[in-house]
Amino acid sequence: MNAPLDRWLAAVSGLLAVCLATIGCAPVPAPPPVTSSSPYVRAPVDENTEPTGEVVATGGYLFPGSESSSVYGEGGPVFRLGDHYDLAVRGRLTGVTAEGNLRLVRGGFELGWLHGVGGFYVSDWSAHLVTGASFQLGADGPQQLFGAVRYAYATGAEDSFETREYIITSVGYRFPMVSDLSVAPELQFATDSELEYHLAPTVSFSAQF
Amino acid sequence: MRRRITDVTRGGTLALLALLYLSGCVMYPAGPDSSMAPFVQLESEQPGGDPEYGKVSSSMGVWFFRGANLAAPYGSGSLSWWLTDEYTLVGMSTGNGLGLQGKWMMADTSDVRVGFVHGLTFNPRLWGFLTGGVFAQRDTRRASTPYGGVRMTLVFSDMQIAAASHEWAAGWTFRTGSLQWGPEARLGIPVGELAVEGLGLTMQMEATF
Repeated sequence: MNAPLDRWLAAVSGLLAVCLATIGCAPVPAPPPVTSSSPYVRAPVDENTEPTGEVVATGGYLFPGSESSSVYGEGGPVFRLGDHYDLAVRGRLTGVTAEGNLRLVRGGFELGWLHGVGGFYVSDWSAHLVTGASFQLGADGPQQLFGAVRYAYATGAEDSFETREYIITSVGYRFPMVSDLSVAPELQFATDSELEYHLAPTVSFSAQF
Repeated sequence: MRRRITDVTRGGTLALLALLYLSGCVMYPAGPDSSMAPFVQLESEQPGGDPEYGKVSSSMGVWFFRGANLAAPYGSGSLSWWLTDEYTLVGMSTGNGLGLQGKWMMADTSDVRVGFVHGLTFNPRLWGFLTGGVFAQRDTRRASTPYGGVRMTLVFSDMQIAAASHEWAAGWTFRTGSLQWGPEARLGIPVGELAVEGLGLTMQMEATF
């Protein structure tokens, strides 16, 4: 076997996993489609070592309004496709999401348009569409204030085609740590069309590659 | 000789994967849902470069459970911190819980690395996991290496052992700059009747910092 074949096998394995995830369902309750906006936040870098992306791991708690709290965790890569576009892919126990962010940069301020698909949320909800806006302050400095407002349209699954809409607001702050590592605490607040609310404090760690 | 062993290992892994998949394995997360990959560590290929402190890892894929006619998407994130040359601490988050695991390197040469993993995962709603096992990887100074391991997991609920399982993992990791990536397969085998056999296919991405 040679290196191209190795890479081909790895790519096929990954594609198979994603395809299987899209047809699957899991026996777990569906959380709102909250997801961290910290993956879209870029740390300032040396022009000579421009990274091509980051790996992000997020953990925290999810406090649904009418249920007891649950653990929240997700992880995935963010690819920088050009100077103004990021693509983030994330996986968690209840599904896989893919979101893009088209960003306009003006000095230390960035404004982005978020859009994506996600879900495969098992028995209750199968998929959702997301769009929204992101912002970042201090983009040209070592620390950034960031946030996003998302609108998510979730479709029902199985014998129910009920739909539900979410508005998810998040705000966070990103600090540099050692080397290429950053940490970003974030607070997310989601309300849905059934007037239930969800609160999710999270912490994200990201390393550039 | 080494290449022959590598090819046989790789071929055997793929054949095992195909056999398990075709035999209709389906699932339930039998263990704490943490990949072996955060424990796998390649030597830096850039002598004199920046020191490496650890890495951020993400895993995503799907689990299949035998007899349950279910396939569940899966994702997690983790932060590994290399405390010493012999010990690595891993904090991880999944939908199953928040976990803390350690890796103690028992033997480390340029050809093979063998370690002992141990850890706890906690979910405030349901239960806790206690995990211990061994793992091994080859060719630690090359840009890619196969690895594998086995873990024993006890699931506690209401201060009693609710389930137990052993989980076998095999994967391959590649390194491109500060990014590591690769596929991994895991087979969870229950002890007793409280869990379900499962096969997990996962794609890993990790960035060192």
